[in-house]
Amino acid sequence: MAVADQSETGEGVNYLRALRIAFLLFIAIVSFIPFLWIMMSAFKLRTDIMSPTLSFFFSPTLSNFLDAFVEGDFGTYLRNSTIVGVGTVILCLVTGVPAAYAFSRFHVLGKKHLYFFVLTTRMAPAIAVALPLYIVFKNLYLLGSIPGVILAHATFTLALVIYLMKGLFDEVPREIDQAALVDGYSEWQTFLYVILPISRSSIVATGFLAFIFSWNEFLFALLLGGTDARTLPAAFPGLVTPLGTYWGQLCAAAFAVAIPVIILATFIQKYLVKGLTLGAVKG
Amino acid sequence: MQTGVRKAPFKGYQWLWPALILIAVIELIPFIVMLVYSVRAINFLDISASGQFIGLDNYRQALNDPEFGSSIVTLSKVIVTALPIQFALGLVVALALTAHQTLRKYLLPIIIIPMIISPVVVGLIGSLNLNADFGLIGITLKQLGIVEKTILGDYNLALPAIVIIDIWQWTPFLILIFTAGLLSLPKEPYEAAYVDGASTWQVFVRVTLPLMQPIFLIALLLRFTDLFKIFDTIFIMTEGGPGSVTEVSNIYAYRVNFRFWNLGYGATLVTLLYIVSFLVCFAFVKIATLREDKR
Repeated sequence: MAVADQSETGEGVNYLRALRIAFLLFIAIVSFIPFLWIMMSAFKLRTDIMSPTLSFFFSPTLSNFLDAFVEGDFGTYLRNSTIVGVGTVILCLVTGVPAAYAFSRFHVLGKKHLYFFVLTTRMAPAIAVALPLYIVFKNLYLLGSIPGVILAHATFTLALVIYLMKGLFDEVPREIDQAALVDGYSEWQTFLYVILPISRSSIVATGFLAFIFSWNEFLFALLLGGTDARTLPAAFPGLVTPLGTYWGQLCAAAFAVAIPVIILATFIQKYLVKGLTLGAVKG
Repeated sequence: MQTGVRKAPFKGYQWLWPALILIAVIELIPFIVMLVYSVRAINFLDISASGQFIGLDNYRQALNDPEFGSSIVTLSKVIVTALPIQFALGLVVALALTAHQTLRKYLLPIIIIPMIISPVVVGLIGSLNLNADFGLIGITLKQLGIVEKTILGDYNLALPAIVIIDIWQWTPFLILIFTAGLLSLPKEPYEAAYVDGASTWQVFVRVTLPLMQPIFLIALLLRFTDLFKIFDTIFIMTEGGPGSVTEVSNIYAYRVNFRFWNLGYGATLVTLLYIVSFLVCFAFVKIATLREDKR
């Protein structure tokens, strides 16, 4: 859309262009510096973090990471986070992908309400989902267990997976299914041996997105994970104590939470817009 | 779109049952249990409230609860201030980004960092940067004389700080979808407008804004509901304090349930919040389908 400039000419355009570049750089800096500050603080000694003079230069240390992940329990939390994330993705893909295929290909009752259902799961306040789960899990002895947290995360990732995958299957031409059926494949075989392989990259992207959602989640993990299935985000409040805040360890934990997500997000940038708007806006 | 769809109304269910069972277990049953709790007196800290049926008493109490009322006012303040700013800023940045392909390629991944990282990390970014003794923004504001001792602990500054952090966190979301939307607009209406001699501003108002309307609508809906849900960042930064100046409805509902363990009344509050978000959702889908019918 290079249409914006056409009515100006000569110097006016250059001036406007420079202004626009300066504005965008400013926005990028404002977005990035507060984040960078935390990532840098992860490598600072306590005295550097709490120094009243701002310094972008300091002698880096790994002591915060050692304190949190080796001396402290954050290694376990990191492991829990990974298991919960991977478990959530597997659960939602295994149950959600066939459902999405059915929604894409067959006349299934309730097809019209799928979008509404997905919207409601995305919109419900987290506490409105966490409280009932807390009550039910308490009676099923699932509180403080990793399967419990995985089930809780599936409340928002399953709908996301079904909806996104339905949209992606819709883009696969039906002639491919038809050809496979003509070749004597059953419907399940068509799905498993023909459709799944050609949808590989979209399934991976959807899985990454579901993983990010689970990895970042806080309230469910805090309430339902207890101490035994505590994930990294749920461990944050524990570092704010009446005796003081462990800023260094918090920043080290933040580093461990944020960096994998940023790396994953670069792989799926194309799917990000679609995933975050439930397919309403194409990326 | 329906051509080639195999017709057999119930056949699809062999594909669906794993998902349906999962949904029943994690969404439907808990929802029913919550409704049951909301008409009972259940308080883990009070033996006399051990599950008696009390009809709609909890709902009556909620409607007359001044703390619940003020939490809704606080939430409204956050939504009413954050949403327009995010929207306008998001659109301006998106318009600038669409005009620069190179900058877009390199800056967009950086700009979206605040929204893809965990809200918990955003909360930490807020509380450390806003610390008036050693935070990047806190020290700066202190030197400028705007802040005296603390930001998040200040009765007048805490809520604006929460709003600013939300703007920082979520404007990138609007930038991202507005940019994607602007780039996907058809070219023809623009060419026609310029042939007719329209100015840049006229084109923006008469062509871009109307074409962007569906995207504005979905952006507004998603942002509204996410703001309605706001919890994590406030919980990490202030837990609703100082006093209760940043206590939005979700934080209040959390406190009733998991600090006071008043699960009966807490379930009622949560049900009410659920109903509101459901109604907004419903109204939106109605509006969206009405628009589609008109075309």
